Amino acid sequence: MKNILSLKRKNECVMNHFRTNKILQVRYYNNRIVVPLICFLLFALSHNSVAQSQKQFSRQAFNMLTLLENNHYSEKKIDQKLSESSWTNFFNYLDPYHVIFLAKDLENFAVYKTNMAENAKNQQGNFLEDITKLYKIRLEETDSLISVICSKPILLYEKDTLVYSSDNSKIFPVSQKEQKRTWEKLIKNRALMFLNISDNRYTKSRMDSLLKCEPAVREKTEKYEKRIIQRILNKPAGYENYLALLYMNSFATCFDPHTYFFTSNEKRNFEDEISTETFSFGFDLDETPEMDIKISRLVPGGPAWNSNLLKQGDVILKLRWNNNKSIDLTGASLEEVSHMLKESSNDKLTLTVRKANGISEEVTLTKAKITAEENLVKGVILKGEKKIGYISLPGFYTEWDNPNEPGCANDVAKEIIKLQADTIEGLILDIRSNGGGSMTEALNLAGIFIDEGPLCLYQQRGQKPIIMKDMNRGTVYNGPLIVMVNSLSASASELISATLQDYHRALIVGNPTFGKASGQIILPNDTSVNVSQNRVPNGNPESGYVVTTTFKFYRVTGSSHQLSGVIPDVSLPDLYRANDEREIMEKTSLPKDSVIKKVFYNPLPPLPVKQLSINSKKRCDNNAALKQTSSLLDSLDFYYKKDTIILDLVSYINVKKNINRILKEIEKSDRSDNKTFSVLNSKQNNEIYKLDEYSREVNEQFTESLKSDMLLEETYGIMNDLINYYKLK
Amino acid sequence: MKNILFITLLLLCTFGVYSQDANKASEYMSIMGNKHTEIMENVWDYTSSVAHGKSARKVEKRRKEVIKSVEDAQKTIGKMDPFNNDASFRDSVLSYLNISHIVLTENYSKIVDMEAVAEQSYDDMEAYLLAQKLANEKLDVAENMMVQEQKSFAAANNIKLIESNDQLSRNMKKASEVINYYNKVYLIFFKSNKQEVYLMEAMSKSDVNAIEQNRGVLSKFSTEGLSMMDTLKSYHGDISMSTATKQMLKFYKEESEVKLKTLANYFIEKEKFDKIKVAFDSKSQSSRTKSDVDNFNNAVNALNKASADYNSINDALNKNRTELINNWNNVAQAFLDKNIPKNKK
Repeated sequence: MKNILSLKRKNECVMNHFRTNKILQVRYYNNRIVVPLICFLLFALSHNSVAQSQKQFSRQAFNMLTLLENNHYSEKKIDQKLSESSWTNFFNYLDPYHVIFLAKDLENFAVYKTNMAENAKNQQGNFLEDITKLYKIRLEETDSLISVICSKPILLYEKDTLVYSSDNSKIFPVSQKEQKRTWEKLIKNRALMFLNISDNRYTKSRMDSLLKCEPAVREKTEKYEKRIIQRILNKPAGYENYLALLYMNSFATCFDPHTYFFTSNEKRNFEDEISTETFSFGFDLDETPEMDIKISRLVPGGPAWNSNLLKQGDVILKLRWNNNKSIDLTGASLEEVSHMLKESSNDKLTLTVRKANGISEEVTLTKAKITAEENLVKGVILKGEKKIGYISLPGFYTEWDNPNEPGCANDVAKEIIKLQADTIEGLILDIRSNGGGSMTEALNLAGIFIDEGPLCLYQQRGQKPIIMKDMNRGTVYNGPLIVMVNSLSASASELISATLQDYHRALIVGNPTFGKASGQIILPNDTSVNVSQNRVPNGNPESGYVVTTTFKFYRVTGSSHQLSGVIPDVSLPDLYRANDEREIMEKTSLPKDSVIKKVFYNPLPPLPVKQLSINSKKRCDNNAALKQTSSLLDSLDFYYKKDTIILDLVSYINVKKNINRILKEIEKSDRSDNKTFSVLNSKQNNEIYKLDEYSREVNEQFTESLKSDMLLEETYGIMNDLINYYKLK
Repeated sequence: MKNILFITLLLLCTFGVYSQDANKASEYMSIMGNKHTEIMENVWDYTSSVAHGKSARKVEKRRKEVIKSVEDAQKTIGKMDPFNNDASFRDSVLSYLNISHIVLTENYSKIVDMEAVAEQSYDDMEAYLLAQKLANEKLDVAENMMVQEQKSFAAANNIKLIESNDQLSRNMKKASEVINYYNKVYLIFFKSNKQEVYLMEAMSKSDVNAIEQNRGVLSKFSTEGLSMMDTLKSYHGDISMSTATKQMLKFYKEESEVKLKTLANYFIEKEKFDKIKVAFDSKSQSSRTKSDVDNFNNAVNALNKASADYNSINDALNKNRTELINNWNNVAQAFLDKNIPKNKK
């Protein structure tokens, strides 16, 4: 049996754009283990964007609920409680900020609240059909409402406040008048965000010139907001299919946060995230100073490169999926365009680009399999007082179409061998923000550092826990080892951190990890699936797939890091501020528990954790840049965590200027190189970079980020102490 | 390679009986003694066929005969009544026969917690050996109990037990000694041999992680094996097994510590070349600089050299390994042939 952990993709929310993004907000992975018990039908599945019938959706929901009832770890029943949660989930997916539906809509649909799941299980009722129609009407009304609001000047000076809650507790508007009022605030907020506010002191004349931009900003805002609506109505896979997907997931996520439904094409996207190769168009994006979206890099040998029609610097004006409507990207942010490209599982994309000579051209690209450079293991030498090896592992990737082929653990081993050729004295393995991936790879990776013995306990629904081991005896690296983690290190990352910690093999440094100790398998959406009896049919791609939590894993001690996360041996200041994203914050997380099982394992002598922590704390206390960044982040939190935004130009300018100042200071300290170590490439990698410009550029960015990584700098100090400890022993 | 672990079980203790007067007790005991002799004769046939290079078909036939004779004994003794209402001796013999049957048929799960065995073992072979070891320990306990009961029974019924010294007993005793030595040497050899198989598998998958881990373990096992062979030395002056095994272990040690030490470099060199080739191929001929071409050519040369080194080391290792393993097999067969008496039957 092959065990695979995998990445989570959250259900898309409609209105997820109200807040400014935090600068240090790291890409969110929320991952899960997947054990592919079945033959994968990867990359051979054709995309079906034709809207399915309500009957088919009803059948899919029935299949999924039967499958989950029979196989999900939690053994939940399809009952009234599940119906109520699903009903609430569904409305929150459709309208997370409660600005599309009216209170009376919910009253009309309240009849389904107590029996939504049971009806789906019995294939009864027209809930999905009815709400699909109504939601479309409401979206179209909202679209018109935006036009109406944006047809008049936005009164930027007028005092107003926008209150919203992040936990969906805000009530729905009772009247269209109230709804319009909310939208006026939302549009004003967006318009204020689009205003180009500098750090200058705002004299009256400056304020006047700012106000002169109001019509242009209003137009940009209108396009922006309407684009969000139109993106839902013109989903690449079809509007009805999109709603059905949310409907299915409103049930699935009641079982636990890592269980969900997806289509065959989404399955491919999902697998791409933890592969070394991914289906892609082969270009990277960046923002120009004029806020246009340009092509920053073409991946050699990728579709964009091979087209010979796109060049670095081309500005993207529009995009179109297959034969759908074109999407105008005027005013779109880099984040928004990246999201659009990522969310679609369509293989054909037509871009309208503006070339350097000002001429617009249309280019059609078809996705192809290319190396995902950003997913790969990277190794460098940190040269300071000592020569330390550093390896960054962004995900536990594997070859999905051939899971028996060596994956990321093999790449880590190769990097270690390259680094050992440079006689490193210690090794730092960085799995910060690594959301997991293949469980087999996690076990193989632990095996690099642990000779032999149990690595974790694995428990399926209703079964006794069993011991999981490394496939190979022996080690590749025996020297001092530090593992860097943060609150976004999840799943497989937590497995390896916990194991190395229990064996006293590595010092774990950073912040408490994500807190997910459950695993998932991708099952075809079929009622005859029975994981406990190993009966998994070949799936019909049109029925979709269900990522299902079927097991939990425990430390060799029998305890679990579920919810709590792995607690590092040495704590570092939290510069990620992603605690809101942790497993413990999810309503349907599985509980933390433990198992009793006699496990024979031989830990190494304990590491001097206390002394290393004291030394680190002293260094952190004396590190002015680190302290300043922490305090700047606290200040940013003060602004970002406010539930009330003051919506008048003067107040907004003040807040924006403060935020800009903080961000600039953070950026400044973020850009200043450390004086503790320099970053060197191994000889082998240097030879690759001589010829491979793309890899070289990616690597340059990577090494630059390491030079200014304050937490890495401190970890380097901890490693120095650890090496000295080993020498004295 | 002769990888059969000989059956070392079964009664070396004797049922030879001498009684002042032939009474019911000695008759009772003799029934068991006769059954035991039948089993021993079959065991000897089996041992001899293995030791003297009989065909696999014949060896298997003999093994089945041993099992059948144990089953016959179980049937016959199972039907016997307790002696003077005391079933302890009979039951101890039955218990011993039952466990013997389990060990012979390798049906270990009946007496060993196989789940615990699997969890404590690294692989299937280690689990098999551990299960066999644990089963044999149970057999030892049953045997001791049976010998004890036999003595008590004899004492209670005025029977004098005597050590049997017929040809069969002498042959069995000698064979047992030889087999004991052979098994110890074989296990030392086998540990490294099996480890080398894992290394080869890793090489065939180009799995550098597994190659490096298994290479390190092969070095450890072969070093440990050599040091264990120093304590085993010869069998009554016969150093043939010891010499062949040491040669094999030295080969494994050199293979893991010297010959294949840089094996991983080949795979790293290959990966580097593959990346460079993609970058090189993606440039049009006109846009390639002299430096690009030079770098590409350097990478080609480096890979060619690494391939040539890899192939020549591999060829030499394969040749040497084949010779040594053939030698080990021949020596092992000759050793058994020479030291285990021939079946004169």
